[in-house]
Amino acid sequence: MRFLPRGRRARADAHLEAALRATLTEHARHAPAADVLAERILAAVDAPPPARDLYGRPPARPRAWRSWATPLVAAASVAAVAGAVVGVAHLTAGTPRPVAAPPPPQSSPVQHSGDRVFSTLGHPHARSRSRPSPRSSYASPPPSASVAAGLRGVRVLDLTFTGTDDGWALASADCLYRTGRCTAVLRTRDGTHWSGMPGAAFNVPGVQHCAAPCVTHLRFADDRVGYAFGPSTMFMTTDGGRSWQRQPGGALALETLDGNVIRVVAKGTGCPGPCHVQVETAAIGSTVWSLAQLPPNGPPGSGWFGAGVQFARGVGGDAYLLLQGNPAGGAGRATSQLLRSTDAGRTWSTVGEPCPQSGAEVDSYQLAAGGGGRVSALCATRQVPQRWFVATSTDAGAHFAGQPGTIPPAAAGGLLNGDPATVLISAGRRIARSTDGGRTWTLVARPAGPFTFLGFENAQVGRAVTRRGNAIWTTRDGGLSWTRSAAFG
Amino acid sequence: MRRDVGFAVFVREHTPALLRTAYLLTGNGAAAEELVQDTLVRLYPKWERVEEADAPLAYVRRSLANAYVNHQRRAARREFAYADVPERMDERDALGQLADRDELWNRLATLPERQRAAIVLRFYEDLSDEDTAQALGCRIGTVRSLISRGLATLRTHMSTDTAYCSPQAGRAT
Repeated sequence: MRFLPRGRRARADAHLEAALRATLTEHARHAPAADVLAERILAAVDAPPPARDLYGRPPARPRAWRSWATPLVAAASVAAVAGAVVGVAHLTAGTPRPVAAPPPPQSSPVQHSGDRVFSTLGHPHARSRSRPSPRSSYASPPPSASVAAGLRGVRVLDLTFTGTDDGWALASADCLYRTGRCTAVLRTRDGTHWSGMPGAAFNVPGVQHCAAPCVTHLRFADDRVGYAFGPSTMFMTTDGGRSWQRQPGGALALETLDGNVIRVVAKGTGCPGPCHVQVETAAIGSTVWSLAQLPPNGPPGSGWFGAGVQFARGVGGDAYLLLQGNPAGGAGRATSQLLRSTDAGRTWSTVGEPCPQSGAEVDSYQLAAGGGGRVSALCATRQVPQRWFVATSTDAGAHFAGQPGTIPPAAAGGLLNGDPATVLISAGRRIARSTDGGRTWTLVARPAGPFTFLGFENAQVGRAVTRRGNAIWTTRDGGLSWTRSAAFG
Repeated sequence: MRRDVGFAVFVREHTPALLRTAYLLTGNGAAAEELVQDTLVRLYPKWERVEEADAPLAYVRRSLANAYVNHQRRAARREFAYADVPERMDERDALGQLADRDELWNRLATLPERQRAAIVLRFYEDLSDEDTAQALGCRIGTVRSLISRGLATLRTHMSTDTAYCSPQAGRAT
């Protein structure tokens, strides 16, 4: 330690304490908003505790997990984007109207996300022009007053694109004709101007505390068929989002690619995270889901479970499901398990923890799938200060190799996207990119996060949404520069 | 379970402050949310005891700090999800300032949890040594020691910080 004279030492201490107070005050502003959490806490104490866990044991203690979470990735296609423009929109002020049986009980809330990146353009999504009527326990509300108006208070939750400039956003916004927040499904055909679509028959985070039916993500397979889903809720549209029909079950994650749709579901309750995780596949637009074959995990009947689920699909039928380990109070190891499929989700095999373990435990956080069997995992050492890096695979997840580059702390811990063959993007409070497969990383000057969405249509075009959700940032040069392509008041 | 009205009022009123403290303790938004949620949910069955306390907020804060210090929330480190926070996106925010703040913030993350908790309670919550000791369930002397050691660690690493930027400081080494 340095030696300083007493007076100078006192001044130095005063400086340090002042700097500490400023730093703490500044960073306290980055704390999450409390209103949603408060309601979630109140809902948690209202909810009856699970009687038994996966193994028939009584629950150890109440534990609630995030019922919706972050990383969301856009669908396949290119989106061209212009500069910052305020979207003009229609917004329905309609309220979800249950007309039949009450929704199913909430399954275990989980941390989850679905990732898909760098899908190629123009995937021939299979369209079914004559589909059986989906079972629907909810009818779309009648078209409510919808007027062209500037969207106010928009908070984008998820984005999905199916073609050049053709995209949808799941959002909440200020109601037009009454106070409070309303669900907003937004549509763009130029990547810049957004319009509201009436008919959303569900709640989203920020709307009525996301009471059932609650959806957190949105994916469109083509210009007609799309899915809005949450852990215990799923809706499907076959008319581009004008009307939605309730489907059985829900999805922790769902991705459409190469003519089919894969969803990850949790069939059990009582785990800290998702219980009895299963994978189902269906043709796009179909209401018939087929259960995929997962390898056994532990004793018969145990099934797969984890603290969180990450799901990613790569071009060419590759799919990856990461079941994150649960430290169960922090005492033990928390080994994650990666399952992979090379046949569009029909059969799966176990890979183990993708992040290489060296000495102290290394945790696997995120997946980013590219083409040609390339997939990346976001890794971090358990020991603080954490080191964030990526492990990459070029053989569809069979083997991973840790990369030497350390992701700058400001850009670590959030989202990962990209393809090690072209560009990898890591987003935390800021964005960093690597063009050498994770060996080196460079911070990007703007925008400032934290980010809740990071999605790429190809190696050049990608979008990001900050935590506030009122602006969409777009890059057209592989994450080197970003412009605010849409801003909502 | 029937919700206690007082509990609901408390949660809605004090969750923001608790969440800020938890965020400073954990350094992670998702972990902070989980820490606050678990603390309050765990206290709910004995909420009458909380309300009977002289300062219910201090009671809850003490539970929060204890939960953090006792490593009960280590699982939260695996989480990285962000809530839909109405954060301000300040375009004028200079990257350099961000880097400076991040430097001290990152160093704070390297402190042992008890030291970090003591520093957060002392320099953010502005609790007295006595109140900090109560929150952490230890003696005042221990708190002073924790803070002193924490500051010493931070000071040791601050080789080029403002505290030592003066020419005199440079010669004093």
